[in-house]
Order: sequence, then C-alpha cells, then structure tokens
Amino acid sequence: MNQRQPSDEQLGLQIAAGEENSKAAFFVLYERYADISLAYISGRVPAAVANDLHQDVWMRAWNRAEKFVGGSYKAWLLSIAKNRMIDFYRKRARTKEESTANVDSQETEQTPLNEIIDHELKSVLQDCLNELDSRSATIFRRRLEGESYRTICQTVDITENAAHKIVFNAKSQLKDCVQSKTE
Amino acid sequence: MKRDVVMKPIISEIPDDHEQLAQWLEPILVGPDLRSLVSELSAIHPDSPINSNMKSILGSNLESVLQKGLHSLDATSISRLINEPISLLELQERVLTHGGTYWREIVQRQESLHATIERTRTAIKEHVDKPRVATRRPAGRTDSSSRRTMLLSIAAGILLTATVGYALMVWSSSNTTAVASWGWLADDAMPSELTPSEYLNKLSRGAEAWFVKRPRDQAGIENRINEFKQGCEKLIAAEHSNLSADQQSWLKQRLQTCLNDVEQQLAKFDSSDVQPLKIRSSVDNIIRDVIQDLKDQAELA
Repeated sequence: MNQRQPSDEQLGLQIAAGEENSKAAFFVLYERYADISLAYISGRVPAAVANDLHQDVWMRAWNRAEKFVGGSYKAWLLSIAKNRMIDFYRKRARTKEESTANVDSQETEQTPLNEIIDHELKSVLQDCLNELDSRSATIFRRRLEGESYRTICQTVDITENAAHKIVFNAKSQLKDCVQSKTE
Repeated sequence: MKRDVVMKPIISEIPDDHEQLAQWLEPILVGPDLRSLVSELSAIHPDSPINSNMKSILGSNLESVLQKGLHSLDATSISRLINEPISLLELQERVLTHGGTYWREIVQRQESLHATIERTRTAIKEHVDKPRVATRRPAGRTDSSSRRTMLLSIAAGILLTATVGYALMVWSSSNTTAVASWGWLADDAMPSELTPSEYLNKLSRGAEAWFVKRPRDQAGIENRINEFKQGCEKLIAAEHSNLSADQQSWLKQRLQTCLNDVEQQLAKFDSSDVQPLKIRSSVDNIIRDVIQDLKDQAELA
C-alpha cells in the first residue's frame, strides 16, 4: 500500500504541537508554498522589500506555529503575509505623513488596495501619456479599453492599418519615455 | 524621477490581439510585475474605481477562472479587468489562495522567484535551529504571579487579535470580518473520530448555527454572512479524512456551490438599493438547502 503524504493541516498541527519532527514538517510546507507566498508578496510590495518580507513571513510562521489550529495552512500562511504587508504600508504611510507634516495631502484617504499602487511609476507614465499627441493617446486608450480597430476607425476617420501603426508607435514612445525619465 | 532600476513599462508589451490577452496576463497576475501593471493601468485609467469590482466582473465565472485560468473569460470581462486594475489585486489573492493546479503551474514557472526561494530557505534553516520564541500553554497549577502574567498575556493577545482582525477587515476588499467561532468556524466543527454519517450530520448542525443569531441591520447581516462564508471556505480547504474520496468530492462541490451562492448575495450589498433583510432571507434558503443535502447524504453514508 502506498503511504499517503501528510496533509498540510496534519503538518501544520505537528509543528504547532512542537513534535520532534517539526522542522522537517516545516520544510515540507516550505517546499509546498514558498512560491505561492512569494508570488503573493512580490506582486504587492516594492521589489526592494519583497525578499525580506517573504523571509519574515516564514520566520513568523515558525515562531508562531502554535497559533495554527487547523484548516487550510496555505490560507493561514497568506494571512500572515497579508498582515505583514499591512504593517509595511502603514509604516510607510506614517513615515510619509511625518515627512509631509503640515502639508495638505490628498493621499490620506486612499484605500489599502490603492496604497499598493506605485505612485511614482503612475506619475511617470501619466507624464509620458501627456507627451503623446492627443489622437494617439485617445486611440491607444480606446484600444486598451477593448474597442475593436473597426469601431475606433469609424469615429476617428483613419484606416485600420493606420490605427494599428498609431497603437504600435504609442507603445514604443511610452516605453522610451518611461525609460528616459527613470534613468 | 530617478529610480534604482530603469523602468520598462509593462503595458508597452500588452498584446494588440485581445485573444492573446489572457495568456499574457496570467503570469503577470501571479508574478512580481503585478504591482507595476496595476500602477501603469491606473495611470491610463485615472478614473477607474479605487475599490475592487472583481466579483461583479467575473460573476459566476469566478470558479471557472480559479480552475481553468483566464481563458475561460470572454474578451469583454478581460478588458474590464484591465480597465479596473484594482480588481486584479483581489483576483491575484483569490487565485493564489483558492486556485487549482492550473495556476499552481503558472506560479512554478516564475523563474524570477527561484533565487529568493533558495535564499529564504537558507535563512530559515538557520532560524529554525535556534530555540523557538513561541509561548507555550502553562501546565498544571499556577501561582498568583504567573497567573497574573498569564492574564496580562491573554489581555495582550485579545488586544492583538482585535487589532489584527481590524486590520484585516480594513484591508480586505471583500469586507471579511474578525475571526468568529460559531458553526463551521468552531474549533470542533470537524471531529476526525466520527463515522461518515455522524460527520455529515455534525456539519449540518454546524450550518444550523446560522439561525441562532438574527441581526437585522445591514452591517450585522453582512458580517454574519461573511462569517458563514469563512466557515464555508474553511470546510472547502479542509481534508475531511473520515469521508471516502467520493463523499469528499461531493461535499466539496456542494460547499463550493453554497459558497458561490452566498457570495452572490454578498455582492448585493454593493448595490444602491440594498435590502439587507431580503438578502438574509435568501441566505436562509441557501443554508436550509445545504443542511438538507448534508442530512440526505448522511443517510446514504
């Protein structure tokens, strides 16, 4: 009879109970979920802090292993990651607030999800979009919104080939512009 | 604006052919470029909603996306995700928490993650060799001093739980609430020593706990439904080792249907003419059905 692999929950509870083979169990879970936890974190925080946060999450998962009381280990792990990211953005917001004390900021009303946005990059790209001629910018936006070339051409009075070329050029221009502004 | 790394906008690589959008978007959704993509798309669509509309965009397709990827969506839905980029963040979380093998394989192909995974492994190997700083439950009798310490620890724990719960509530776009412990969320909701029949009956009794508390205000009803939903998610993720493979498969499918139905009701709280008591009544019916199905299945077991 094939021996079944222990489930995540079994391994998590083994670690929580501080059993002799806890370390081995912990590394089995690491092999199962290191990529998922890192994908989650690295998609939401600046690259410069993602690695440290990832390490911190797994160390917390070990240090606070007894808090795992069953259920989905992956969900439990990602909730630790979520809390660490909340802490990160809170600390960052606090630092920003302190450095802009007495300055009227419109950013204080942002939602947590909105805080994940890289506002520097957003602002660079907005500048670059403003540098496109208005027709190119409009066609590029409408294309991104899912409008077909045929529909766009009906209202802008150009051929489909010309519209394709405008979108292609707009992408190249944006690429060059963002690169030059961040060099 | 000078940065450590020269930026190359991701949207400059967006496929012109909308048929290829799904294939292009999937690895970004579960990779390190997601934040950049969302930021860039927010620049292009500055008036896009700042809260996620992922559930209303995907509707009943969510389960199919979790299992089969974005290919299962039509071009309009993918365009809406692109045009409302905050929704991509919620979708990322869903896919990583509940996604099937399809998404798992996409994550595994993210080569940029491999080096960090190796580095973290080395770091935590060193870490776990040190004594754990975890707090252990005290055994036996305690003197008054250690009892005081214990009470202080409990108070600190309650405060910490409340803080974390609040943080999660604020953070979560799906309005999840602090951890509850009734019904399927109770610690003893899934006892492993029961026979399949007893186990399924136990689950049906867990669902009946929904009817114990009957909030009438919108916040209370929404909170109660969210707690039920959490219990449902907990059961879907659990092993149910005392059931046969067929019974487990049936249970998970039934719970998934229940979860989808409950989520549809939760989505109604976003509408302008929300009718909380009507939503509660719909959830009552959803839960009555699942209770009956669990009892029926228990009889067959």
